[in-house]
Amino acid sequence: MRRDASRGPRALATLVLGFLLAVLGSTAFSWWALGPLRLEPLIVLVVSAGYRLPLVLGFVVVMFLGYLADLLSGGVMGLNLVIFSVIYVICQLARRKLDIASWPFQMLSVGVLSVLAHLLTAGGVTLTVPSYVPPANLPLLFLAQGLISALTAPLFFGLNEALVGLLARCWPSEYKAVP
Amino acid sequence: MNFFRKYRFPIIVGLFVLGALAYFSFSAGKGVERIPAGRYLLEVAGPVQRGISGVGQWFNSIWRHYFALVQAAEENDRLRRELAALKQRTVDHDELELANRRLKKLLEFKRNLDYPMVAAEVVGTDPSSQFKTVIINKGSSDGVLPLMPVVCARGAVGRIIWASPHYAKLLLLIDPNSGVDVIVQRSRARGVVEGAPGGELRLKYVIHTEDVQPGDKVVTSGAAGVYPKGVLVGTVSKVRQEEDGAFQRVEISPAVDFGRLEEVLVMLRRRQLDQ
Repeated sequence: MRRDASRGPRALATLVLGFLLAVLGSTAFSWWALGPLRLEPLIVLVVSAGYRLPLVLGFVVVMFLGYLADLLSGGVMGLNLVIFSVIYVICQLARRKLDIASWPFQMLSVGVLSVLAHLLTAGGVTLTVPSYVPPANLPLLFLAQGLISALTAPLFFGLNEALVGLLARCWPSEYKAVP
Repeated sequence: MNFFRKYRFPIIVGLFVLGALAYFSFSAGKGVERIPAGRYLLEVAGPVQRGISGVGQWFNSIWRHYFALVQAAEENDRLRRELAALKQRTVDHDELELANRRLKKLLEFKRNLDYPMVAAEVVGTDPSSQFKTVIINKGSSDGVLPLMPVVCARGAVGRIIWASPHYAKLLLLIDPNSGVDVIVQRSRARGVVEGAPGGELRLKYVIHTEDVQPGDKVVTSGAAGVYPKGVLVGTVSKVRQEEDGAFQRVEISPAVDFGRLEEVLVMLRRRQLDQ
């Protein structure tokens, strides 16, 4: 049984990039928002973790990202944690049959899962705020947000892979490949 | 052992997902202000947010006031440098004057309310489009604690839901999770203001017989214990009498421009019901 040599650098890269992108999401990405539509790089990192990290390590990384997202966004703690976990499990199941190496598939996966994430968020808000009435154009907004996430997915995938490559070069050699 | 190997995936997935769901239901039940840990993560994220905000404002200022000028001007180098420097000084001066005006208004407001307050700057906004929260640069070491009301010179802004030593998360009035007990200033009709989609506010639980008209000012009632009485929340923009149901549909334009929040005042008073 051969362990994936890039799992350590990949986990660290996802954590570091996740932290930076979460902070950018609350500052720079908000300034470039198109009305309610924003860049959502954390979904891309969760999808990437789901396809490329081992089950337990990936879960730990994704839960950290979910907790961080909860900390910087919204009024109910735990909502992003649950949503990211669900997306991660879907990707873990999908990786048995599919590979996410090609950019069209990256875009498709991220687009579909971004729409799902927004549906789950709306469901979560409806559960926690019984008086919440979703706006009429919500499905359209979700589709538009999914499209933006899909279009920008290859960029964030590329960024993550670049950081993984960089960290892998500095990674201690005894951890690189264990037969 | 064989059982674990065979069912490793569903067992691990089940454990993690159940853990996440348990945390969500624990948080939803207890209220955000009582969730432990994570405080120090905000302490790490806060300075980075502040730095990026600062750099962004600097670039914005350069873009608006310097590059636009340089493109238009075909002067010699000395004059251009001098002009740019003077313009930059004017911009700095204007910024100072605007900040001075804003802070003066805040100070007057603070004097009128007569509560101990701490001024804070907004350093980050909510990355999600569905929630309306911001991060401010004052935390528990400045006396800022969950449930404290936050205002600005124009009126009520929201309440603190989470505080780390030097940063705090503020739930804005326009978030659907937010709710404030209010009265209509003219007729004294009572209701609860909640966030509505599109950054508006909705006044709920106002019965049919109450007199509410567009243009009426809506202020906090002081009843729920979070806000003091009389802080401006907004102005009634639309009133609709429903055919069925006991209440009117009242929409409110917020007094505060939530898209341009820069400085706020945190009122150092906790909910009186908790004390």
